[in-house]
Amino acid sequence: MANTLVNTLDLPFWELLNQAPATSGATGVLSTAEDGLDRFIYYAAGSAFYRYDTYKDTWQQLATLPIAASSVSAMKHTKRRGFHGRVLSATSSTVTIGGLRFANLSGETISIEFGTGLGQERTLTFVSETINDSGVISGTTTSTLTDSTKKWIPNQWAGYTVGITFGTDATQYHRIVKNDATNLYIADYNLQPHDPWGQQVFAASVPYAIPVTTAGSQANYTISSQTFSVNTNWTVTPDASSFFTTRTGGIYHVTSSATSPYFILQYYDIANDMWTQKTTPQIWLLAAIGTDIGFERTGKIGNPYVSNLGTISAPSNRTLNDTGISLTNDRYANHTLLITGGTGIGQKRRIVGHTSTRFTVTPAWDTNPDATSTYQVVPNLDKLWMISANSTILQYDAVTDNWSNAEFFDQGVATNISAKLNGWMPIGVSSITRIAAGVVSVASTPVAAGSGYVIGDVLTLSTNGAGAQVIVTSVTSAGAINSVTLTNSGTTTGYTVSTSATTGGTGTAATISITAVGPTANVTTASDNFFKAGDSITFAGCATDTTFNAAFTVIGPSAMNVFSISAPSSTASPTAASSQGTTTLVDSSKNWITNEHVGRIVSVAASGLNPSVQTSWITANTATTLTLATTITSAVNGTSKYWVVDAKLFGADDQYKHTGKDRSGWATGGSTTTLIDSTKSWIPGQWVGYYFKVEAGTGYGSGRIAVTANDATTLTFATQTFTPDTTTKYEIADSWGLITTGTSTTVFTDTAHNWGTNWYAGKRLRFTTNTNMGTEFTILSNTNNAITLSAAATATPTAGQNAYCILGVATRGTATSLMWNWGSTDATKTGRYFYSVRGSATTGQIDIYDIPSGKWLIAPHIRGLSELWQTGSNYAYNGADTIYMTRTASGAVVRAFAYNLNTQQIQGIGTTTMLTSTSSVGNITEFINTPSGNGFLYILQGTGTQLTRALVW
Amino acid sequence: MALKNAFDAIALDSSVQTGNTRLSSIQQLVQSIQRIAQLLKPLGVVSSTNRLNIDINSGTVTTVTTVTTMSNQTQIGAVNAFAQVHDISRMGYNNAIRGKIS
Repeated sequence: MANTLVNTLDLPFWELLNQAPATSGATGVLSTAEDGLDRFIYYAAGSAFYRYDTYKDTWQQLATLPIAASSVSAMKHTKRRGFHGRVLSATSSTVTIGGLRFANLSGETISIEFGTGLGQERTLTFVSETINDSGVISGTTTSTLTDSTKKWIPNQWAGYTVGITFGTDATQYHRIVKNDATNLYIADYNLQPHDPWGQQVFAASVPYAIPVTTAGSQANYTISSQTFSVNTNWTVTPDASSFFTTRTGGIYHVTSSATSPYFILQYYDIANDMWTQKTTPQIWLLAAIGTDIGFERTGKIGNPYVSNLGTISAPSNRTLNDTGISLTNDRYANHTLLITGGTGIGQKRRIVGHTSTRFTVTPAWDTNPDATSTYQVVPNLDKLWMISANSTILQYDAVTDNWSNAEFFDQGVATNISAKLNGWMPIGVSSITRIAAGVVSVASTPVAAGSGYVIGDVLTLSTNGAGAQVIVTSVTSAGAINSVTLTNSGTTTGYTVSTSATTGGTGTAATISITAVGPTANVTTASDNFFKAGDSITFAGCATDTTFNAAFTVIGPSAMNVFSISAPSSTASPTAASSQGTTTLVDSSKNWITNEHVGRIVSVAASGLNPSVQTSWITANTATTLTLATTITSAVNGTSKYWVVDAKLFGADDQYKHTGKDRSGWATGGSTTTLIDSTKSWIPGQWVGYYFKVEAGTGYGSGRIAVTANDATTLTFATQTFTPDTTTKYEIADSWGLITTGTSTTVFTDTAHNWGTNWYAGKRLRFTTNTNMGTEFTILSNTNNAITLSAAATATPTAGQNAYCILGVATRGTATSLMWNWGSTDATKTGRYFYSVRGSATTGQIDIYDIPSGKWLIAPHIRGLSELWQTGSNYAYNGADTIYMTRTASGAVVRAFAYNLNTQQIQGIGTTTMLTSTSSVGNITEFINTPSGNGFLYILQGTGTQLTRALVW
Repeated sequence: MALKNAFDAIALDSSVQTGNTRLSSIQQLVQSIQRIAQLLKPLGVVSSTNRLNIDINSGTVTTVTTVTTMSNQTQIGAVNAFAQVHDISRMGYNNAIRGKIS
């Protein structure tokens, strides 16, 4: 890059660009890719959606948002997401997917997100496209297309793409989630936990309109798939359990809503030019967002922060050791450890903490890394972060479609008996019915071909046993059967290896050769699944006959919720070892460490995009069952999803901010009654009565331990079953806990604390479980262990059930932000902070959130901070050491500033010639990096259409 | 000469210049247009708020139509006014910046 501009001699020049097609208004927002190295800046306003082409200075209309922005909104573009789907098949050098039409995805990167071959990334080259079926749509609902002439095998089209190819609704392309004989399903919200991508239902408006089925103007459809070659042969060849995304980019748009859940999240797939609504549960916000939204994404970007330097080993199923590194303890806590090669490739886990050479992760590895493994430490993968009118940060997990206000420890689906495709969330099983002699296989060629049959006819084998079925897959022109395939192994025992007569279908006289019989079982899932013949399904949670707790190959399926398996070792129909209860939640697919989740919080959500949620403190856990402090309406087997999170919220306040006195660290030694951390200089007695937990290493799973005494370096407690050592990471619950007495709606006590009087007066408190869940209050005063709120809570807190957390940072106002410094050139800062403008007409304060510690660095000194960042102020990060900030007012020019994250100074960089019409709330400033290293700041007019840019240097 | 004096006499429009901000090419262009409008005022072509479209028939004003305010004018000489400003802005960018970066 050559840049010979000279300060003072040359001044900023604001170039007026082509005007936006729509007025920015209250909900106008801009976003470009996280690294700024993108051609486009995306622009949403109301329900309109466009992109500005920085190469050609022109605007382009894109798909309308299904749900129009309301009141305030925010938007973020990430290159980490794209077009998602299930792999249909693969060879060592190819992959077949549903895809989009023609060569749309050629040249793009594909990543296997979970299932077989996860973690591999390849470049696609288009080879061929297959139209597998087509027809005329005879009926529709918002989630289905019906072709009443068809006789499909259940789920045979799961993962394929259905396109509307003729009629007024043409050009819509949806992924098929499941199918029965005549219906293709493009959405099933019971499967949202398993596959939250591409489930946009038909809606009233273009481009999501319900296909027309009126005679004379009926819509036509095709079912298609595409095959691509990959640039390098797969190391592990994907299969039908593999779930992929392309790295074609996606955009998240969040907006306020007048009714619960009070916010709406939508995702735009750039490759498919289509939005889909994502999940927003009802507990996170309890009122519409009246001020503003700070919105940010974290993901892998730039170079990894740490990677292999020495010998890799996994001393346990939650650790990774690298003899070659020497890190500052916990610098990369709450980042992601990604296994990039060798044993365990593709696994990604949150780093709970680390010492100089050893990482501890959660949840446990599925496959422990070893000396063949390579790894990277990268930013917290594929999360979105949101802050609005209060002090709570919400995190969205883009892969699982779940939200939280604290770090996730696990996520899943409530299942009594679980049926799991490799790498996927489990499907709940309602029953497994064994028969002693079912049909295991048939000859594909019939003994007698009969006549009058059509493809798709289902024939029941009626000799000896009952209920076994085949489906006709090929016929002659006279309707004689060429071939069949087994779809149901039978419901009544008695089958033998013999020729069986058949009933059913449109023809007559076909007989089928049964070639193998044995113990089989019909599995009925609690809701529809997406399993196909040949899928390998792993069951867990079976009692009575535990031989079913193994992997089986699907025969069939015979319906979207029924499939058969051959179970040669079985002796009886299994029952569920545990079932959902009012004080227990079961996920039989898990293998938790006993009591590892004690003192954490579980949320149980109903099915759907805006589910109701129940929350509870966890008092105990076994390998598969959580015990709850609060009585709930029992979770629903197979359709309730849940998440386990820390009781310590993002940004939990810390009482003792001075060096050596804080609440967490790594033990240097101890005994069964003491934990020593020689790096501390605690005040004797400061932690007496508090609980601590072991978060990693020796002692993990010991639950909450009460401190009976402490001196400068030692915590003393009742005798435990472990001796702390240097693998032991501990954390004392200094500003969160479980209420021991609820006095009134404004006063409660937690005796496990010894706070200074009024340390928390004016700070914020959020209830994290039970009836007051999601409400946040300002604290009026506090004693050593009692809190008085400034306003009444929904209900008097319930002792032993209501949990809470104190947040140190002030509420956010209009013009707030979350800006992530992924590219800071100072390695001690890189990717570590969110810079959050408080947003206020009276103070220009910026608070900094420290991701590794989960603490706010409140009110840091910044030179030049007397500007008031308020309505009309916008922000853009340049991918290095600068956040650009703007100030304006209605009728005024826009003044732009650079906040240098290294020097902590804010200085002006120019003033636009463009006048703001009316200051608006949405973020309408973006930063584009050119490949040659120049940076341009783009500013859209407040409540207007003018766009201007300036080179910054 | 008279024109020059009149040009010089017209005060800068306060809605365009705020404080001591340096004027960019766009600002200068806008000011120039406003100055021209001011100069035309005594000729009865432009009022301070409205441009008057005057048909002259045998020396008598027969029709006076209020067209629009100058600040909302969308065309200059049948060419989109924004497009002209946009082009001049791009010329300004090329002159001021483009030659010094690559």
